[in-house]
Order: sequence, then C-alpha cells, then structure tokens
Amino acid sequence: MKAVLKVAKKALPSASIYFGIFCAIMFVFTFFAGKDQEKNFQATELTIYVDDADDSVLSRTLIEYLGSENKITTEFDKEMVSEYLFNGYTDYVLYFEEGFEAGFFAGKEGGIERQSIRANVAFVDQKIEMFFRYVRAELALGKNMEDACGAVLKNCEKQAKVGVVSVSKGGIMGMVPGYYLLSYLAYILPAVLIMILGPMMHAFYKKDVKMRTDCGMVSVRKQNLAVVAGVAIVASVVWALLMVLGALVYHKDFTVGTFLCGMLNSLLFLLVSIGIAVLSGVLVKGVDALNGANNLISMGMAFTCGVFVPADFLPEGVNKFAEFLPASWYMKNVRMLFEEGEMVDNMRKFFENCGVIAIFSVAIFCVFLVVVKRKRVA
Amino acid sequence: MNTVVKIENLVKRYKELVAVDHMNLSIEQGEIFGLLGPNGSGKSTIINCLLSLTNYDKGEITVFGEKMRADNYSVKGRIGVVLQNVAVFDELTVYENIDYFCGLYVKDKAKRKELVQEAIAFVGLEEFVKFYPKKLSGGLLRRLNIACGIAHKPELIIFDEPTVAVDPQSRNKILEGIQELNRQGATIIYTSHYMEEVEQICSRIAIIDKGQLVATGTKEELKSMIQTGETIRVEVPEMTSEVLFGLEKLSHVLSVEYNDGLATIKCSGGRHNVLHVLEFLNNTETSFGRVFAEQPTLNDVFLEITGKELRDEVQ
Amino acid sequence: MIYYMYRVKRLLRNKTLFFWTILFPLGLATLFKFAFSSITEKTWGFDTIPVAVTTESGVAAEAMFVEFLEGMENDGAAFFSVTETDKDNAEKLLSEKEVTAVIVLGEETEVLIYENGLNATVVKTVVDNYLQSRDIFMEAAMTGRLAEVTESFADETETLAVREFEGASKDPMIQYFQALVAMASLYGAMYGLLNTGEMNQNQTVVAARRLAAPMKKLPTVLADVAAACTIQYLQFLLILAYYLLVLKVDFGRVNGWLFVAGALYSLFGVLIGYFFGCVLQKEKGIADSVMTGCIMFSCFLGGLMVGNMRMILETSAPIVNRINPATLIAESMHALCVIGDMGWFARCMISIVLWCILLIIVSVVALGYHQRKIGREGKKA
Repeated sequence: MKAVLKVAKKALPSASIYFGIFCAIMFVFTFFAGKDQEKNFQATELTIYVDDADDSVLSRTLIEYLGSENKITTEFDKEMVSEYLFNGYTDYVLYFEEGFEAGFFAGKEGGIERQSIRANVAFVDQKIEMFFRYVRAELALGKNMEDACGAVLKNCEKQAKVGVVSVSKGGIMGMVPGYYLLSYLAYILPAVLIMILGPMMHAFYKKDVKMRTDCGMVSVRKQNLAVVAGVAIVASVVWALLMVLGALVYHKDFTVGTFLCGMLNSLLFLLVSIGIAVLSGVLVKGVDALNGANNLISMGMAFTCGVFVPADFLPEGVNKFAEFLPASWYMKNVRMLFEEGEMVDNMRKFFENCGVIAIFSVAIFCVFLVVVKRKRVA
Repeated sequence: MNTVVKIENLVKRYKELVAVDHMNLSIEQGEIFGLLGPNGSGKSTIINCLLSLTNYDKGEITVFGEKMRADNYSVKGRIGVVLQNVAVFDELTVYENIDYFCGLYVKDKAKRKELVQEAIAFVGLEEFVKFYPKKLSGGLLRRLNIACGIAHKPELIIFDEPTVAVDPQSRNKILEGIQELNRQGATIIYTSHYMEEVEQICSRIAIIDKGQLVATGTKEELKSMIQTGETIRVEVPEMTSEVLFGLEKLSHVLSVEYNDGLATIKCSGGRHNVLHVLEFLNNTETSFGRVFAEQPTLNDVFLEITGKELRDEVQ
Repeated sequence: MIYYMYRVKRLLRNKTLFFWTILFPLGLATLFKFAFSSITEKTWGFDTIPVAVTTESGVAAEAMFVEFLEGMENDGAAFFSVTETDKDNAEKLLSEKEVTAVIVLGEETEVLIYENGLNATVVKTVVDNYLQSRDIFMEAAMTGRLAEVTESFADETETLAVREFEGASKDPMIQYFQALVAMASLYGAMYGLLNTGEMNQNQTVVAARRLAAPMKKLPTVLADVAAACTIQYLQFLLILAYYLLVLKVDFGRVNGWLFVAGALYSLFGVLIGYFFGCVLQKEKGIADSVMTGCIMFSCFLGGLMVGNMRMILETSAPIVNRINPATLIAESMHALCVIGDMGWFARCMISIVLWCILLIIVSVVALGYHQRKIGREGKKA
C-alpha cells in the first residue's frame, strides 16, 4: 500500500504542472466571463475603423449613423490595417477619400471604400448604400446637405420592434466561468490521472515485480486491494482538490441543483478517467511513451469533444467521431447545465448522458481486467 | 626495440590533489605493458593525459617519437582506445557502431568495410551485427566496445580496465584476444586493478600508487624486488609460543603470524621451505591440518612496497 | 561524411526525440485542424439566413417586401431564404430554430428572434431600412414630391467601393499553425542539446572515446550541427507538406522563400539547443527542463495557445515581438505567406540571423569556459 502511494508521489511534480496550467486557464477565462443577457434585443456590435480624409458633413453623418449600433474607432495605425483585420481587431474598415462629399453631390461613384475579410458583414454595405439613398432622397426634396443629413439621422430613429424568444446564458463564447471549470475538468482529469496512475500501474504490473510480489506473503487479493485503494485515494484527492478549488472560486455560478448535477457528472467522468489512466498504465511501456500517450489521449479527446473549442464550432465529422469518446457525453451534460437555463426539463436527458458515461467506464474497466489477466498468464 | 610511448616527469593536479606525481614511463614496441594500481591511483589520468583528453601541468609525453598533443591527428590515428566504460551509441547497431568508430580513422569505404568485418570476426559478434547495444549482454557489450577500439588496426592499443564487471568466461576471451592482438604486432597498454590479469598477460608491469610509480619491470623482476619468496600457510589447531618462536628461528623464515589456528609463514626464496616447516612441526609434535604454499603474487609486491593490500582497495 | 551520416542516423533513431519533434507537432496540427478549421467559417463566413414572413393581410406592399428580401444578394448568394406563412406556424418554426427570425408585417412591423446574434442583427437592420424607406416615401407623398424621391431611390450609383483585403489567407486561425511551425522549429533545440552532450569528455564516455580519435574538432562540431539541421529541415518540410497536402490548411502564398526560411528556422532551433547545452553543462536534466520551459514560454508569446497573442503584444509590448524567437518565426511566415510584405519578412529573417550569431558566440564562450574549468578541476572518476 505504502509502496503504491510512493510511486504515485514521484509523479507529483509533473502533475502539479498540470494543476498550474489548469489554474492559469481558469484564471484567464474569468476574463471571458459572459454577461447575463437580458430578454431584450441587442444588436451585435461590430468594430469599424474609419479613416476619414474628407471630414465633411456627409462623412461625419455616416459615421454617426453607423456609430449608433457599432463601435467606431478613428485612431488607428494605418500601416497595420491588414493586421487588425486579420486578427479581428476590426471587422470593417471605411476609407473616405478627400473630396468625397463633393463627388457624392455631383453624382460620382466611389470616393469611399470599405475593407473586410468577414463575409457576413456584407449587410453593413447594404446599410451604407441605403444611407446614401436616404441622403439622395432628402437632397431631392430640396434640402441642403446639412439639413438632409439631419433629416436622415432623425428618420433613422424609426426602428422595428424586436421580440426575443429565448434567453441563453450568453451563447457559446460567453459562458460563466463555472462552465469552464467543469469543461476543463474533461481535459485535466485524464491528463493528471494518467500522469500519476500510469507509472503506478506500470510499476505494479511489471512482470518481474508482479512475480516477486506474488512470491511474497501478501495474498493476491490483498495486493489488488492495495492497488485499488491506492488508485482510489489518488483519484479522490485529485478530484476533491479540483472541486474545492473550483467551488471556492466559482461558487456563485452554481445553484445547489446545478452543483449536485455537476458533481455527479464529474464523478462519473472521474471513473472513466481512472479507467483510461490504469489502462494506459498497463498498455504503454516506459515513462516517455506514457508521457506521449498522455498528451495524445487527453489533448486529443479534449479537442475533439469540444472542451477547448465548443462543439458547435467543430466540423460535423469530428462531432460524430466524438460520440465514441466519453468526454463528449460529459461535455453535453456540462453544456446543458449552463446553456439551457432550466435544468428540470432536461433531467431525463441529463441522466441518460450520465448512463452513457457509466457504460464507458464499465467497458474500459473490462478491457483493463482482460489486459491484466492476459499479462498474468503470459 | 623502439620506444612507442615515453612519459617524462608527468605531473597532473586536480586542485590540491596530485593525481600524477612526476611519472616516468617508457613503453617499448611489442610489449603488453600493464599499469597496475588500486582504484584512484592515477591510472586513468595517465591514460587521459596520454590521449590528450586532459591537459597536464608538467612533463612531456611522446608517442611514436612525436610530442603528443590534442591536435596531433597523425599520432592519434595510430592509437586504439578501449575505455573503462562501454562507449557505444545506443541508437546504432553493432555493425554501425564499429563502422562509425572505424570511420573516425579510416576514410576509405571499401577498406573500412573489410576492417569492420575483421573486427567483428575477431570479437566473435558475427551473429549480433544487427543488434542494438541495449539487447546485448554485458560480456557481448564489452566485446563490442573492444571491436570499436581496434577495428582500424592501431599500432598502439590502450585498454583501460576492459574487464570490470565481466563474467569469467568473457574475461578469458578478452584476455586471449588482447594477447592475440599483441601477437599480430600491436603494442598494448593494459590498466587494471586485477593483479591476476596483469600477471597473466603483461610482459612488463608498472605498479602505481597515489600517482607515483612504485616499481616497474617484468613480473619476475618485480617479485625479486621483495624479500618474500614463498608464503606458507598451515592449519595448526594449537600452537605453543615455543613452537612459534622455533618457527621464526628456522633459516629462510622471515616472519610468522598465528591467527585463529592458521600460521602464516613468510620465507625468502629457497628450495625446501615447506619441507623444513613441516619437519619442524612434526618434530615438536604439533598437529597440523592442511598446508598451502604460494609463490609471491603482485599483491605481495604491492603490499611490501606500499604497506597496504592491493585487493582492499578493490572492494 | 561518415560522421555526419551516422549522426543523422542516430538522431533519427532517438524515439523520444522523434515523438516530440515530429509526431507531437503533427498530432497537434491535426487537433488544431479539427478544432479551428470551422471557427472562421462559422463566425465570419456568410450563410443565407432563414426567415419567416407573416403575410396574412395580403397587401401588395407585403409581396413587394418579400420580393425585396428575396432579391438581396451577397456575392451571388441570397441573403435570405424566405418562408411565407401565418404567425402561428412562423413562431413554431422559430422555436424549433428552423428560422433565425420572424418578420411580422402589419401596422406595427415587428421582428421576432430566437436569440441575439449577428444574423438577428442583419434581419433587424434590413427591416429597419424597410421601415425608414417607407417613411421617406410617405413623407414625399405627403409633400407631393414622390417622383423625385422615387427617382433618387432608383439611382443605381454604387457609392461604396470595395477594397480587397491584401492578405493571401483570410483565416486568422492559421496563426495557430504558424505558431506550431515555430514550436516544431524550436524543438530542434532538443537535437542541439543532445549533440552538446557529446562535446566534452566529462559529459559522456562516448565523448571521451570520440575525442581520442584523429578528428579535428571544428569539422566534427559542424557535422553535428549539420546533421541536426538536416533532420530539423526534413521535419519542417514534413510538417509543411502535412499542412498543405493532408490537412489542407489555408497557409497563404507558399513560395521558394519559405523553404529558405525553413532552413534558417532549423538552424535557429538547433543553435538554441547548443546554447543551453553549452551554458548549462553541469546538469543535463536541468538544461533539458529549463530549455523546454523557455521554448514553451516563447511559443506561448508566439501565439501557440492564444492565436492573436502577437497582436496583443504588438499593441502593448512590441519589443517582445521583435526578440521572441517563436514570434520571429511565426511572424516571418505571416509576413511572407499571408501579407506578402518582403521587407517585413526580411526584417524577421535578419533578427533570426542576429539571434543565431549571438547564440553561437555565447555557446563558444561558454564552451571554452567550461573546458578550461574541466582542465583545472578534472572529471570525477
């Protein structure tokens, strides 16, 4: 028993690195915390950079017109426009040429350019062209430029009434931090457990060691009990540590209900993770290889199951594939807890998902037992 | 005879420790020259200086008549080295390892191929050419180590404790191999703290302790340097002090010790020492058990000159 | 030559290094592809928006509005796919997320959306425009100047011109892949570090054994470096081929300069390994972990974990971008392949060359220092 834990202890430094990363990630994501949305319409705000070389009534009015629903920036490094666009610092760039207003007045085309790499901001083009129509119409009514612009702005106060049917807790990129706690668990649990339990299993089920312990006074039953106890201790310590840490930082993101459900969900996933860890421990030879396998398993599963990048953003094929991995079912539950708002309607679905995770863990443990048995016979 | 290696007045210090203290050695062509001394006596340091792997504080080393320097590549090319620890690459197979090290000396590909095959045959690793070192047993690994050192047919081969931690069978093979190389014309420098080995194969021996040269010569010369010619051990259950005293009085007897029923009698060289001792015991009606008589060993030489056992240091 | 060949062979057969320098970057690239390939498409790409319009009253204006919606185009694709239906069915469609929004036409035109988002904003903007135009026409009709207004609305003058984005790739996610190339290049340091382990006789027995051979030091060191660079460069080519041929990453313009740059990246990575190996000679383990830590941190700053890290730093601490190795590699690829700014690319390359020179100088000095020290203190037998 002591020996079992001693092996586990050796893996502590590397495991603590994972804890460190985990904490750092959680810390980072508190910044991304989504605001609770109201049941009102909110226009999606675009960032528009404007280079106004004309500085005329018309250009200023257009800027004001766009500014009512978007974020306008006029101070920016013009050399870096490509970079800003490419990195999403700005969604849309408008360039007014000098003499734009005069050209417009004379009925010339051009004088204003737009630049964007987003295809779905084309509606802004429509909006701007519409603006020019309004101005032309007002001018046609005999107004001068200044009055025409004023009239257009006033006219634009007329807007459609919008009703919002559903309130999600902030959509995909705007989850509360508690969501990140639970979802990153899907990466960190397998990673840390493989790191600690892998070498432990490896050491214990190594043929020579196994033979020697079998020669000893301790019965096979007791040996196995010791291993099971060791695994249980390590796993529960890891899990408890993560949960306590999360509960301390993010308690306000949970209700009693969601917290209990989250616990159940993560406990089941803990079982799966243990299974994966002990299985890779007996299958993979050598610590180096185990390290590599760990990266591949934990990171691969996290990426494909929508831990790092929400499943909605993943290609359909990847999502289909992910259904064969336990983490995706775990993630489905986590999303349900935070996205859908009302848990009660979905309790059935939630427990079904829990069932799938449980089946995964049973299957993995069966494979583990078969592998161990084979090793013993061999 | 040509002098292959000449070491004059060599001094090497590591901070306060004087590892080699005014060493003078000269090794002749065709010799198997043994450097014998306990661990830490400075054997490896001498080898390192000789190969210019470390610089030294004083003295001069000449190899093949040329001053040895780190960049004296023509001289280095004529030397083969088998170091104490196995120096092979884990990522290369047996063949590739030998080819690699041979390649450091021999550029011509066809010739190298021949040499490598010869070396493999010499150490008897034909069946293992495709093996990686990790799959080889300790003895085989040593043989590979040797093959890597000798493949380029050097004129001077330095063996630095090649038999440490080697099973007796492999050890004999290695020793035979060294003698064979010598027969083929190579001059050998052989360092060891196993006096039996040195005694078995070396034509001339230098005994070293604490960086100083204690004695040089053939084993006969060395043994004749000391007084003890023969050591007789007799199991005597009970011995009176008169008998002990009487033994010491016998001619040729140098000293007598009696411990735990075993009398150790050291005699100078003489013909019938055992007979005289047993006759005396018989005459004094002292009963005795088994009798052992030994010619002096290099250990005795070392013991008498330095006052300590060579073997003690080994453990 | 034999020396070089065997060094290549040996480095290639090192399984741990093989994993970290080749399999790991390829695996990570695959995961990146899974994770990031559709983000840009899904957040920036254009999709026809499904909307329902309630047309119960059957007024001509409603039909015109529907016609108007259906006529809207973006690069040849329809803006909206319109379902005309009654209000109950429209709401049902909305709650099933079959449509993004329901436009309830009538006295008080209303838009119903399922949830807030860009598409909802688009629908609302269009309906706003419809309402605003209607007001203008109504006002014109009242003042009896409908003809002028109609004429000005019919004016097809396209005032707004499109300035194309100059970059060769429009997918910012490739920055993750650029950072990954940077990581893979810097991992070449592992080969460099391995090589330094055999430069001094106090480090390994094999090193001592090698030094006993009649080989000049400089050529052997150069052969070592060349061998490591060769593998590193092959790995660079492999990753690039994997990106372009297997994963089909939109890497931008790939031209000959990228292959020249790849060689420099390889040398850079290997030299970093030499640097750590020479400076931290005492403990191989420490050198290893310190080096890996430094490389990972450099990659973090270069955007391996946060794709637009380079931009964040550019606006807050640009000096980091000028000197951080991973950034220099990623940025040079960005400048060359995405932006196509040769001046920028050259500046990055020069910085890398300067880095290499610096690394060589420090390594040589450190090596000399350690060798003198070994000479004085000797190795522990």
